[in-house]
Amino acid sequence: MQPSPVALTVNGQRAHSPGQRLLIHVLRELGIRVPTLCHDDRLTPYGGCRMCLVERLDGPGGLVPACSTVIQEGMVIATDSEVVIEARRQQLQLLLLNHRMDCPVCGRNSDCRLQDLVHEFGLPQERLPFEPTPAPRDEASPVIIRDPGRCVVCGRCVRLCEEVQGVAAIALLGRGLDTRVGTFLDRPLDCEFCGQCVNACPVGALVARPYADPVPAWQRTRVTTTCSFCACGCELAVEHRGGRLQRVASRTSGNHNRGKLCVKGWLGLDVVSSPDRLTSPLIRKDGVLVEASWEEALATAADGLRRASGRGRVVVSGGGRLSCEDGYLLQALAREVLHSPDVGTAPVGGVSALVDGVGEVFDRPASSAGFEDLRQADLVLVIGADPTRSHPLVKTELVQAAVQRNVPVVVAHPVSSGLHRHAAEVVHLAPGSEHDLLFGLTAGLLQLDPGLGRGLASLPGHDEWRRSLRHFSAEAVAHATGVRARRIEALTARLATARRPMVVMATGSGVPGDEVDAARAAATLTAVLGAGAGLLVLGGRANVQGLVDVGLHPRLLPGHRGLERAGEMEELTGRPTVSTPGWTLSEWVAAGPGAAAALLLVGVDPVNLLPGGEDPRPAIETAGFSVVVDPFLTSSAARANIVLPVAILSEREGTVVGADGVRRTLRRALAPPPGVWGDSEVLAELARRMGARLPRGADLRDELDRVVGWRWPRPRPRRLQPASRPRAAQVASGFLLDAAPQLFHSGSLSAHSALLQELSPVVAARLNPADALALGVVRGEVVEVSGGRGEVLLRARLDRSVRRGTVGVAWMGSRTGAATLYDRIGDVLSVKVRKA
Amino acid sequence: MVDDDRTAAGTDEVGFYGAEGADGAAALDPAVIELFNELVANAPAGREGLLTVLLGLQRTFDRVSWRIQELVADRYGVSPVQVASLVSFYPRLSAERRGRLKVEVCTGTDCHLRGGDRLLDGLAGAVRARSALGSEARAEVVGESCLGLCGLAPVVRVHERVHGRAELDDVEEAVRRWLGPAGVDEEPG
Repeated sequence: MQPSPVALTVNGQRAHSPGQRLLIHVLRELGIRVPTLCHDDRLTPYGGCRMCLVERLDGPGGLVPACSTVIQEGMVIATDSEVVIEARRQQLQLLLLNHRMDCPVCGRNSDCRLQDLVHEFGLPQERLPFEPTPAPRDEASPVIIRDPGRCVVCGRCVRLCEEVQGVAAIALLGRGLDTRVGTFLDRPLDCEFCGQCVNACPVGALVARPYADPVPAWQRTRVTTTCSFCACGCELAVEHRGGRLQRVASRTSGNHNRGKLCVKGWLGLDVVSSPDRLTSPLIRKDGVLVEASWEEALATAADGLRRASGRGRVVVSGGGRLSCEDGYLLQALAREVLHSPDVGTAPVGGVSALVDGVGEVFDRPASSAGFEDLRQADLVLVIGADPTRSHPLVKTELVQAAVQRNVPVVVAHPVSSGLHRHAAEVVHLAPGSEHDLLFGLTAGLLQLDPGLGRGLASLPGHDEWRRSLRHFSAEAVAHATGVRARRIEALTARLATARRPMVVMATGSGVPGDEVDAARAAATLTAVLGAGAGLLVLGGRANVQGLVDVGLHPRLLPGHRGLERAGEMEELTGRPTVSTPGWTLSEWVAAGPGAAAALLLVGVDPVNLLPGGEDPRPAIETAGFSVVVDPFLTSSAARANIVLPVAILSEREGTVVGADGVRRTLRRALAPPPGVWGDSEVLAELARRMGARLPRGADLRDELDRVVGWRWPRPRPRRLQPASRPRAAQVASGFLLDAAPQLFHSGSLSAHSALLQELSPVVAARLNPADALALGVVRGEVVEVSGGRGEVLLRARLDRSVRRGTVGVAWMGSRTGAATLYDRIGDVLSVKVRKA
Repeated sequence: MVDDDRTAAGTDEVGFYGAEGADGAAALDPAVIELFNELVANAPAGREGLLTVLLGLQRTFDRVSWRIQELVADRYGVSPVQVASLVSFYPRLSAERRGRLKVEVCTGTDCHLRGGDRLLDGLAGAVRARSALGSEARAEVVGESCLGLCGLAPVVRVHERVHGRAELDDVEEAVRRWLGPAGVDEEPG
């Protein structure tokens, strides 16, 4: 129900506004500047700093804080009266008493809210007799320096950490003048290092060590781009001077992430200056890779690929970090120039879930909900992986839903998560039983409310699907998921009464269970729940959705066209394309050594990405010719004939599509190393040397607009797929291997960030401290994790976020990753952990 | 079975902020945990009970130690520093033991006018003198803004017992009785 509009008087002028809004928002809309230090639109109203005081002339009268006063009918407000200005001036004077004014050496000089206020209200004429509380700088954290001498105790950091990030690593300690921001037992900050506290600090009390001494604000150039570490697509403001990175932040309004970043987006940009980066093409000569000119490398690569395409199959694969433009050109190069149907996105989480899971139920392989929908949801069910680790922005949306709006968030994971404290319910279902739980809920819903499925009766496959649900009795589902029948019933009842339920499915290599099965089940559940429900599939890499959209898939042409629509593509582009289905990387490896005449890998490292059961090394080594395009010399690149370096992260241009289906722009904020180009340029040059002209620049943009366009309505159910019978729960003997994405490392790129490695090394076995104690293992000791196909030796890290009975090992990691232990992606693995 | 009926709050698993220290510190004495469970059971359900439990712990142990704060945090699904925040904010709570005996002298308006300040000075002096004699027993005399018993002003509370229309001699005698050979039991945890 809409609140009724309210009429009020501001500075003698009549104003109207919808009701139940905060005065500060109404005033700002009227163009009135309201100073504040503590207010943050992302937080619940606080009213701490008293800088936003305005005078109320009606009713009770007096000074009221605009940031925490809700407008009322007939309110009479003055924002510029003597009283208001004097009150603010005096309040500022009090704030300044306990603030060390070392502005010239402060990193926030000229970009400081307190400084702004001093400019507005002036310095106090007369200092009140007061000795500032001594407050030493805290430099114990590797990332965040705290300088309480500058702190104005606005509490924004504390409130963001609690209400948005859901961590509460810091709190206000003490009371009155002694109030300070601190950690438990004054321990060094040990948190997710999302940096929101630093970026929200109105003064210079919180400083990021890597960005500790920036040049003054007026000397910095700010470029707005999109983060490409994960599928959240957060807007980044990258500040540099002459190409030297100074600071990374994000606007708190006007974008979908509202200033929220995670450790990778905030600090991970040091990858660009990694000493391991390739800056020159490499050619294999006499068995070794040696530096070569671009001219020679491109000519040799083009020649080798062209010859191979006449001889046999050319397998082409692109990584999930590629932009839409890169992906489109790569499939064009494969299909139109090399005439190869064997083109696809690397097997990263989400590709199959979208194409073979969601795409088999909805009319498009895409999520039916976006990030915004999480703000409207009245119930969220989270399955798959833990967004706290894999998709930090989504995590903050879920925390805000739970903490600020009291929306129940139900987490169904085999391992506990960072959402543990905020979830209304945590369902520790048997690993890999998401499909059975979701179909169990679907069957339960239809029983509870037979009217729910009515809209689906006309869809193809309906009768068969309904019949398949008979196997999902409460007992069978309980048996399959290890969750008690009455809990499933309670969850069903919750779903049935929700008006806007959202299902969030996080994906990633190492997540136990078949993502296709789970995605189909999730899509079916939301279809049954009706138009108010939504499904958000979070891909395991930045542009999984975008690459599916541009047809970087062996069974999909650009624009989600089936292969049978190849003719339509030719009409649109004027270039013939292939219409036969091709291999995925896994299918190529399964075809055995020598199956491909050549290999083109762009941003893919199959050696570390594919599970041990699909070891691609023999296949790579027996491919006649291989070209790897990658910023680093990966294990796969080290086996290639030609290696071509490329630009990464904030050096790139183009677009990426987030998990929410929104296409966002990558802008070049930092220049790539001399002689290094973006993937698109490299691909277009390769094509040119094979005698083909692929579109570039504005032509490419126009063609993408014509062919893909991204002007789709929300996906809707188009057919129903029968559920496979529930299987008995797999119970872990020993430790359950948790290889799902980590917070600090989502792919291979972050491993090259010195800072992220320092905070959390990729290669480690993460154990709950209690388990470590039982095993007699201390931090840093070498442990052997064995099971599945073998064993890996790793150093132990103790981590309280790891659930007891599970061991966390990153999927990728130069053959020391968990991947080597698996036969297939999605397997559920029990392992032994012992001191080595 | 991997079933787990416990929801976010009230889980007895070691969660993100486990009762187990990151360094694997030894667990708390079971007797302390039992007492804690009892306090939680008798307190209002949910977060509202948090402060009641903290006050109960303070009353029992004369402090809310860091280890206990972690325990409380885990039980109530908050982070330890949020509990530390409460303990450091409320004058009635403290992380360190403050003295075996707490003597609270009301300094509200009525009590002040009827000699509360003289009581405060006098009692503080008496306790100081006693400590100087080498007695191991210590006591803490604090001024409290208002104990809410203005009709009985001046009011002094000696270990939860209220003395209305207090006279210095009577209260001193009560303090002396407390500081006698039999002290308050040691905190077990």
